[in-house]
Amino acid sequence: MRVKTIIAEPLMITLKHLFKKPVTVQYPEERLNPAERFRGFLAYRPDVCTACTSCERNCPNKCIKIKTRKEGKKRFVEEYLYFAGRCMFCGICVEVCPTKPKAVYMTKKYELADTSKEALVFDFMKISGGEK
Amino acid sequence: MRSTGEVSEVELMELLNPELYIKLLTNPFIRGLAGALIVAAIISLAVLLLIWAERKFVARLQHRYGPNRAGKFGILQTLADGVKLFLKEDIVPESVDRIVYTLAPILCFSIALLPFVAIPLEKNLIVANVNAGILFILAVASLGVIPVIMAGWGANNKYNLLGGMRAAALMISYEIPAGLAIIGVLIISGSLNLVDIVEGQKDGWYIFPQFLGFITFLTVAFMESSRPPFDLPEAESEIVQGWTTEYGSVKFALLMFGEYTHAVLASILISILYLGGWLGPFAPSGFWLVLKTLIVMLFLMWMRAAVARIRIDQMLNIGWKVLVPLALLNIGIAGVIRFV
Amino acid sequence: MKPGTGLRRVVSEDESMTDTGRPDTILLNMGPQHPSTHGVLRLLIELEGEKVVNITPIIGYLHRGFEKITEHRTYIQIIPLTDKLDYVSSMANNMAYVKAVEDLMGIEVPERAEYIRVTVLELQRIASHLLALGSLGNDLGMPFTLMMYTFREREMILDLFESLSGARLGYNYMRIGGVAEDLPLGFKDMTIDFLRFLEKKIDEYEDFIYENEIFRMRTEDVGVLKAGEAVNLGATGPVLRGSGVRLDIRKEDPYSVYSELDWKIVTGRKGDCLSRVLVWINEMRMSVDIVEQALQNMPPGPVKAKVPRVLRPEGEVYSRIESPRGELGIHLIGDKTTTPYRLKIRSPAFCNLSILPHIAKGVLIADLIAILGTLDPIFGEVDR
Repeated sequence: MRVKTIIAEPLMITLKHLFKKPVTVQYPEERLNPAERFRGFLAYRPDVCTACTSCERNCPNKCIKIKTRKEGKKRFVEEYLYFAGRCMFCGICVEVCPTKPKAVYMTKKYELADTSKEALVFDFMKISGGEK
Repeated sequence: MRSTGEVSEVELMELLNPELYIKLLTNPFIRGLAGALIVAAIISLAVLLLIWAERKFVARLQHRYGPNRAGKFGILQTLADGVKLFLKEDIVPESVDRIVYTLAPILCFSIALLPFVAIPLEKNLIVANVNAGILFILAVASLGVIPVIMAGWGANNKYNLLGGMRAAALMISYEIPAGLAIIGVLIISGSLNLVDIVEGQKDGWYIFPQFLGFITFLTVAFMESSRPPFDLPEAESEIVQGWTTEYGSVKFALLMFGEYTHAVLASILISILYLGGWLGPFAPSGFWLVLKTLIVMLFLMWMRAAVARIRIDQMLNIGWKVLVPLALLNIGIAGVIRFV
Repeated sequence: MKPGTGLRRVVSEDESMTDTGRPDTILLNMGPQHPSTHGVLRLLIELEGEKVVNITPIIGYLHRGFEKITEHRTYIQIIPLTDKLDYVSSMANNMAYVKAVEDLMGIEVPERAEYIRVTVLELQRIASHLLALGSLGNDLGMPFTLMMYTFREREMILDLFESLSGARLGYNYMRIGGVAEDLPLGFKDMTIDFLRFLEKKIDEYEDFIYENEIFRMRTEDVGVLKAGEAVNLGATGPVLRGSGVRLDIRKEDPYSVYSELDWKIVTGRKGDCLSRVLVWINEMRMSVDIVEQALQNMPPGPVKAKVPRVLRPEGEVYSRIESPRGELGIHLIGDKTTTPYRLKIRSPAFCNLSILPHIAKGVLIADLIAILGTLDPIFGEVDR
């Protein structure tokens, strides 16, 4: 008889949940909002960038490739390639960027699936319309 | 006298003679066949709906939605799964025992449907009113272990073997308490005929004088249909898929279907033997039986969500050391009630 | 292939795998793909009927060459890599590594950073134990019920961490000399609300487990590990404490501000599976307490010490913390260059997994799964 009375307890606990609203979110119709500091897809501001290549040097997975040129005292970025397929979204590139506001920063975008590996290489200079 | 090749008007009239059709309809063989097909169709549809109900109910108990994409409320989900399984490639591993491997799902499916011909939906709505109804049902239901053991052996896979052996051990532990529990009901009702058993509950459902027997038979229902907590033969977390491991596509669908039909059979038996069958106020035929079966099935689903799986030696313990004494005690009580 | 005869036999795989050489046992391969081996673990089990006679775990299916990679990364670049070790509790991994570098270089961490670290570590402990509890429920045959409930709370912790660090699973939050960023606005209130909610839920879980007769039947007196055996075999964490040994790195070798907070070591009594599960539950309660204290006593101040941009440490250090699974140790050798010379990780799950053959002799398969569930291996850590 002990068996019966003690089985009743988990039955009651599960019954309580029957009458509550389920916790699952029906993606893709409903989506949860990412937090303020969410580390999503990378973005680049070429007008603020000083071409120090800190982001390239500090990336653990080598997913940023920069080609620079020198014009007198200043450096300029010619090509800024971002390999999204290698990125682990750690945010170190953002942290070591010395400019204010940051030249490379993270957006809230996380739906990044694509159909080919080549599509995961992003040419940021081309996307942002070239140097300013 | 007529010439060959000409059909006379007299013969045409004979064809349209209603007597011919009445003779056809009252032919017991034709009636039995038609009844069996109708029962098979109804039970299949019921299993489809019940699988959907189980997934939704268990999901709600777990604080989530169940399937809700296939059709409104996901009601077409079972159909979608069935279609998917049928369209899959039937992979047969090389070293199986071909005959046993292929025969097991077929037998599982057919044996599971067999006892339903003897179950009355209402007083006169029964396909085969076998006089020793309960005996027939028990006998055929215990045949249901054979496909499991066949599948366990024939697939030449150690996981299957473990599942099959566990099923054999399970069967030994529940057959005897089941029989003993039913003896209690028989003592009180005085007849093996299912219709008589239900009619005899007009003055009170058998659950009250036979409470211990009810508990025993309820536990046996879990064991017989391999439902949690007694779902050892197909314990997914330990032996992958248990005795159905090497099966895919159609064969798997048939096996799953047969397993679920056992659960339905157990629930119907409980409602007939202990909960008064179709007796109830103001209802059309069979409604109460369906409702009671549904309630028992809901209880089975509820236990699935709430309780862990039992271990095989503990299960054998329960079967022999708890259920058999309970059932014997129950028989004693039944005897006292009947003859006092 | 005879199991239990050591690692050398495992390497050559051209012999037939279904022969044990004994007439009454079969060899069952619970392969790398299995619903309950918590990841990619391969178990070679010698079975006599349903009883386990001998067992050989084979690991390495998730080996990613972590320690070799770190020899070519700078000290800052290694921090997000340590996230991926024990992916369920990445704050603990971060902390272990960062603490090792700080010990090596003698860096002093500001007090506010230490309090934040303690908060975050204890929240991580709660999250990890919730996951372990949920997976155990799955393994024991309650498909998804317990897991849905515990994951609901774990989601709340993950939301807290997301507002703090920006990611849900690989936080990359600790830095050498402190933490990456200060707490966002409202974090303290959200956490305290969550802790109130969690306390009731922990009671509910304890009820669900303790009052569930079948759960107790499956875990009581199963896989008993005696205290002396546990210490000899090198078990740490809840496995060790479940056997009654009062050993916790946070008290034994205190780090951060644990010595200033008021808390007790949680131990079990019998060393069986149920004791380990109860250790999880009581540790969760203790962690709730610690987080509350840390949040109340948090002083204002900076969250990162002044550390040179380029680090070139020299020397050798072994530093350890109490991760949710046990003692996570980092042996770091620096040689004045920007990359470490050697980074060795003493992973608790690896050492706990190695006691499996000793306590799983003579149990049934069902018990084996329960024991494996309570040993709580995470293969990111076991295989590195």
